[in-house]
Formats: sequence, structure tokens, C-alpha cells
Amino acid sequence: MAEYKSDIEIAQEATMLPISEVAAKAGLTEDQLEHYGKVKAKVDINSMKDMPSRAKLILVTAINPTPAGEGKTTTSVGLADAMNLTGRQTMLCLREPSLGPVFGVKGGAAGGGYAQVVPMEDINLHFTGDFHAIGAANNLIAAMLDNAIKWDNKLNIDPRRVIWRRCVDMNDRQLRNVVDGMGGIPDGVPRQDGFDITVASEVMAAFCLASDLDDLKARLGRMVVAYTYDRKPVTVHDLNAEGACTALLKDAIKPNLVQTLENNPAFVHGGPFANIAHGCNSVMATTTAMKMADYVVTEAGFGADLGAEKFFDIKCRATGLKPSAVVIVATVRALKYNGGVPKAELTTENLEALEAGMPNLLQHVSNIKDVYGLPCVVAINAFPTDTKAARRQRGPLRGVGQGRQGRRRACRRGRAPVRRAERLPLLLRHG
Amino acid sequence: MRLCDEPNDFRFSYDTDDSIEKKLNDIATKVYHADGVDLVGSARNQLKQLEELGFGNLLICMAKTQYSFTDDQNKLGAPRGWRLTVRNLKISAGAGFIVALTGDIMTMPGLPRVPAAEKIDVTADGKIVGLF
Repeated sequence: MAEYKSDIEIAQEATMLPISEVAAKAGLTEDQLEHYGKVKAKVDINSMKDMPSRAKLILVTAINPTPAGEGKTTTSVGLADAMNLTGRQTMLCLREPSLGPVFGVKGGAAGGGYAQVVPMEDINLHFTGDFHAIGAANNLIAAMLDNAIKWDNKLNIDPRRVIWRRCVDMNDRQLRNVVDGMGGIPDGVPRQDGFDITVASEVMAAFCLASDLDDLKARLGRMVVAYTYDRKPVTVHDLNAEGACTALLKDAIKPNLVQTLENNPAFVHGGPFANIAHGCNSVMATTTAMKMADYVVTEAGFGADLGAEKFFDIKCRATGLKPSAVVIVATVRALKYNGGVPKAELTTENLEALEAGMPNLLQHVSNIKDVYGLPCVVAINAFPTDTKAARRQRGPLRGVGQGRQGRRRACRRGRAPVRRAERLPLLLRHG
Repeated sequence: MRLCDEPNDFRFSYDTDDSIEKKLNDIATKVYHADGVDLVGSARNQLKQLEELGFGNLLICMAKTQYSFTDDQNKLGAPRGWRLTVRNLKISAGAGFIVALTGDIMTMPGLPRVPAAEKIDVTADGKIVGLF
């Protein structure tokens, strides 16, 4: 097999435009930008408050994945670049990666091959500090809650019924269950506690669903942190903490503008996990992007059973957004995995397993069409390691709809060898 | 592109006004293709308490393994003839939903035996390597 460049090598060789030039493509002026270095900026969304929303919204989701992920971000970036290339003004809205997966199984997440958002290292490590701000807001609430218990407990909080957990943006199972407040009377009231990863916290969810700073403050105030001895809910508002928390989040709440490797504009903002939280980038980034472009491409985490379900039932319902189309990403690898092939053998050709994994894809397709009433296409994210026979095997898909197969014009351009084929090489249309 | 111009009939998988149990059931049966939902452990009490406190009309945020349509990460493909196990219901009033923890999903992951972090490094001139 030929040697392919790694994602980070490709990203580091990229020529990035100054972020002002990328912003200009999206119709943003210098006044609307707050620069974070040369190639990152936060966008002042208040200046666009009264602009009408005009874009069509395309959601990229996937079949049930393997632990490595199946390339929703890669496909989203490739699709947005292709649409921009063919003269359709398109904005991309993605989630910020959590440090947990970066250091855990998956590694960095900002697309792959020649379909990435850059600066890839920054986006993966700290970025503009949003997650730290969210963690700080979460932990301020925890500190004020335990403090309220220590000083006379006027709110009558039952320490056994505290539901608020501390958080850190790290995969750290050692902190899942802890006892804190140890040491004696000056050191707090001992109780059983625990940590969640920041991307599973309610502050992250409220942050991503808020429509503006006022709405965020109201949402933070409503959060339930504990119950009293007579089982009444205690909220952040009862702790008088929502003002300070909102202050911590005042800059974080502005969407981050970066660029794709083809210098097209992308918002990367907010990042709740899709398995334990709602899995979509911030409402503010999406609604702002809808005012700036003709098309907005966004993604929702993991398979369509989790990310897409919550994108529709939670995010779209909360905001009134209406998607126009859905792309379901599948890989030969994930299809085989769903067909019962163990992780270690996924690179070996196995057409039987590929066939056996198809029902997973078909069930996601029928969910999108029949449960949510939306049109959808399947995108096979091809890897150089896929065999030709595996790529050819599309029999079961043909039966679903018209099965008309066509390469997207924009996908045809010759490109240097890539580690992941990122140009939506194969789109199967379902009528 | 053509797909975007097609008329669509967008709808949700459950109705906000329904009971929490009905909403859980709608997601489990329509989206996951389960036969139904079992509330185990404290989940049944929590459900009663949340409805009494007036949180019954919130949305549902399912916490479930990403590897399967079911709550068991080893059941791959498109399984039929199973029931979704909900073991905990937690209020997220600020986000506007109730988090339903299913199977053995956790809100604090752990690192694998060999974490990706072992491959990440930075050179003397500040260039990051091994991020992916």
C-alpha cells in the first residue's frame, strides 16, 4: 500500500488565509470579528440579530460507528467545499472536539485527509478556551452549592440528594465517584460526589441550546442542582449563581470562525457528546450561519439513532429550525463491523459481513425518511484500504430507492493521494 | 442539491405533551425499533417525582451506547425483539430536557489501555506531532 500523509501533516502543510479574508467571503466585516490570533476569530452575533435566515440546512449523520468514527466531519467538510466550489455559498457548522477523545481512543477530530478544518492542532487542543469556560461555570455552581451547605444550609439542601456533579474535560474514570469535603469542620461537609466529562455537563447543553446571552442566563438559572430534605428542587437561581456563570461564558458564547483546507468559512462552536448529551454544535452558530449563506452543512454526533434523533427532536424543536436534507455516512469498515466482524479484522475483505451489516444502514435510512419525513442520501466514505469488490457491493441499497448512482461533479477533481477519500466519491440516491 | 429543493414533510418522533413514559417509548420503538421500555431501579420513582414537580412536558435526551441501535453495545446490525432498559432519569431543566440513562452508559469515560496521548508530542520549535 502506498504511503499516505497523516491528517496532521496535511493540515500543517496547508496555506491558511488570514481569518479576515475568510470572514469577508461570508460577508463579515472587520468590525464583526474578535481576533484570536491570525487564523481564528469569534464573531459578534448581535450585529446580525435582525438579519433574516435564508439558508437551507443539510444534516450529516451516520450509521452505527466503529470506535474510530466514520467520517461525518470529513464528509461535512468535503460536501461544503464541493458546494462552494460549484458556486453555492455554503457555511459549515461543526462541534468543538473534547480533550477526552483526543487523548483517548479516537485522536484529534477536525475532519480527515484533504477535508479538514484548520488550524487543526488549535481546534483539538484548547482552541478559544470555550470548554474551559464551560467547565469553570459548572464548577463555580458546584463550589457555591457546597458552600451554601456549609454556611448554615439556609436552602435546606439534603447533601445525599445533590445531583450536580463537578466536571473536567478529560477521560478520567478515577473521578467518576469520589468522596469530598473530607478533613474536618473547616474543610466542608463530606458527601459522595462525582465528576462528569465537561461535554456531558448541563452547562454545555444549555450553552449549545441558548439563543442569546439572556436566554443562556435564564437557562442556567433554571438548572436543578439538588433536592431539599422535603424533596423540593434547588436551582442555580436559588444559589444566586446564574449571573456569575453567564459572566464566565460571555465570550465563549460567540461562535468561532475558522476555515477549511480550501479556505471556506466554518463555525466550530460548542460540543456536547451525542451518546450522553444532545450532540449538536451551538444553536447560535447554526442560526447565525443560516443568515450568512445559501446552504448550511452541519453534523450531529455518532449514529443517526443518537445524534440525528436529538438534532431533530431537541435542537430543531427548540429553535424552529427545519432541515432540508440528510446525508447518512457509511464506511465499508462500519458495515462489516455491524455484520459481526471483530475490530482487529476490519481491514480484511469480507463481502458476507458487508452484506450482513447492510440492515443497520437501511434502518437508519428508513428512520430518516419514515419517522422524520426527510429526504436523504447515503455517502460512502471510502478508504484507500477498501477493496474494489467491497465498493462494488451495493446490491441491497439498490433495492431501497431508485438506486441511482452518480458521482458528484465537484467530487471528480484529481487530487494528490489522500489517506481518506474525502470527496464523497459515491452518493447513492434514495427516491 | 436537488434533494434540498424537494418538498419535505419534517416531523418529530414524539409529542412534547405526552407523558415521559410515552415519549421514551416513542423513541425506543420508532427510532431504535425496540419492543418497549423497562424502567428499572430508581427510574420509576424518579419518573413519578419528575411528573409531580411539573417537569413532565420536557424533551427527552437519551444517553445510550453509540455502537448499537440497542442499549447493549454488542448487539450490532438492526436487532429486533429487545427492550430498552432505562435505569436513571435526571432533570436538565436549563437545557429543557430529561436525560434518560440506558444500559450501562457512563457520563465520565475512561482512557483505553494505550491512550492516544502516548503518541502526541511537540518538537523544540513548537510543532505538534501525532495528534492523528
